[in-house]
Amino acid sequence: MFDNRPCELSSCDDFAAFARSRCFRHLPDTEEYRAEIYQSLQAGGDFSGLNVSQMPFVNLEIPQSEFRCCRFSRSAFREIQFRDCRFINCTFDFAVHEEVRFTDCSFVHCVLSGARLQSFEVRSSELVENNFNGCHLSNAVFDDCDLTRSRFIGAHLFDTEFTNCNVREAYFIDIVQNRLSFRMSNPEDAFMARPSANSGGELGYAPIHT
Amino acid sequence: MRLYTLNVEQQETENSYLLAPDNAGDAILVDPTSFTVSMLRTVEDNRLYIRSILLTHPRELRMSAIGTILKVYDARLYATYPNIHGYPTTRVQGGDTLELGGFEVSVLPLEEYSRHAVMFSVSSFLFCGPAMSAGIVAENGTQIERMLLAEALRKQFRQLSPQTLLFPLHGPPSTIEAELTLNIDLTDPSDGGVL
Repeated sequence: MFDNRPCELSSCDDFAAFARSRCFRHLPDTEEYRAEIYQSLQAGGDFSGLNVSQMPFVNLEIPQSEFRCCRFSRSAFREIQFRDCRFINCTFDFAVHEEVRFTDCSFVHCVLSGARLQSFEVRSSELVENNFNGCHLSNAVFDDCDLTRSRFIGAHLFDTEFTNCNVREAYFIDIVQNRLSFRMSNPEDAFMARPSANSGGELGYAPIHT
Repeated sequence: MRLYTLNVEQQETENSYLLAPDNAGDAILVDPTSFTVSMLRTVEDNRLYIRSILLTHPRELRMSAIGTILKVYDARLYATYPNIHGYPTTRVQGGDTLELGGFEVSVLPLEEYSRHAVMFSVSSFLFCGPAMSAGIVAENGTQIERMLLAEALRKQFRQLSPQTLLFPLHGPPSTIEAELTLNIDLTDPSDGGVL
């Protein structure tokens, strides 16, 4: 489960990296550590309490795996493919994803708030009740996904497609958008405006800021 | 320390949380809203025993779950009420610190939401109950009351580590940093933001 050991450096507020006493930034052997983590991830398996916050990941294919209570906060992912992976209670807040693809994956109760998701693809995946608040998405595709009760409050959605997605009770409040598409999806079942005390929430389209 | 979000698998709209030691032992249950076979399995398969139940805001919880849990486990309730539907509690108030099963639990006041509301801080987790959820401060009356609640939350959050994980009664989790920087409801008016 969550590994809350602090970095051993008293001046640092971050958590210690997985199997180390310091956070990734303060490791003396970051390249060796990256190689170790890459090897583990590429082998697939179950990962619990893995803290690899602030670590860069480049050009990897991650096979069937389960990630539970793992921290990827402020990490950078470039040219990564996840297939048949399950993420439960994981944090990707303020992370950067470029050319990252998730296929047949599931995310449950994950935090992606403040993340930058560019050329980001999620296909045939379940993303029930995740936090995408304040995300910056560009050239993003969600295809055949279940985004029930996920939140995109204050997100920037540029050139983003939700195709054949279930967005029931998802929150798209205070978003900034350009070329946002909900083709074959159900935006009428999503919250597009702030819930008011009287209405208990407004479903359907509301004016969108551009 | 292990943390389970008990309702994740069941796709319930309300969240309950189980805090447990790394090995078998006494666990803390936060805001139980239901108690299913799957939850019982989580507890039993991990050789845990629910010894303490923390309630952030008893009036908004379905109490039938607590009755069931108390039939199975000899647990103590911690809440701002002296008793809940006939079940006696250990009363807590903002500023209290509890030592439960090896965990230090800080009770944070939240009278701006309700005089019976509190939040519980354990290690780098904050259980905030119904007072807010990711990106949204709860509606709790007039605009002024909501602004006061937002201000109280902002003050509490600034005293915590930005990496503290926020676990609400409703919706997905968040982090203190995400809420302080991205939640428009918590924007500080003195920073030029608008509530």
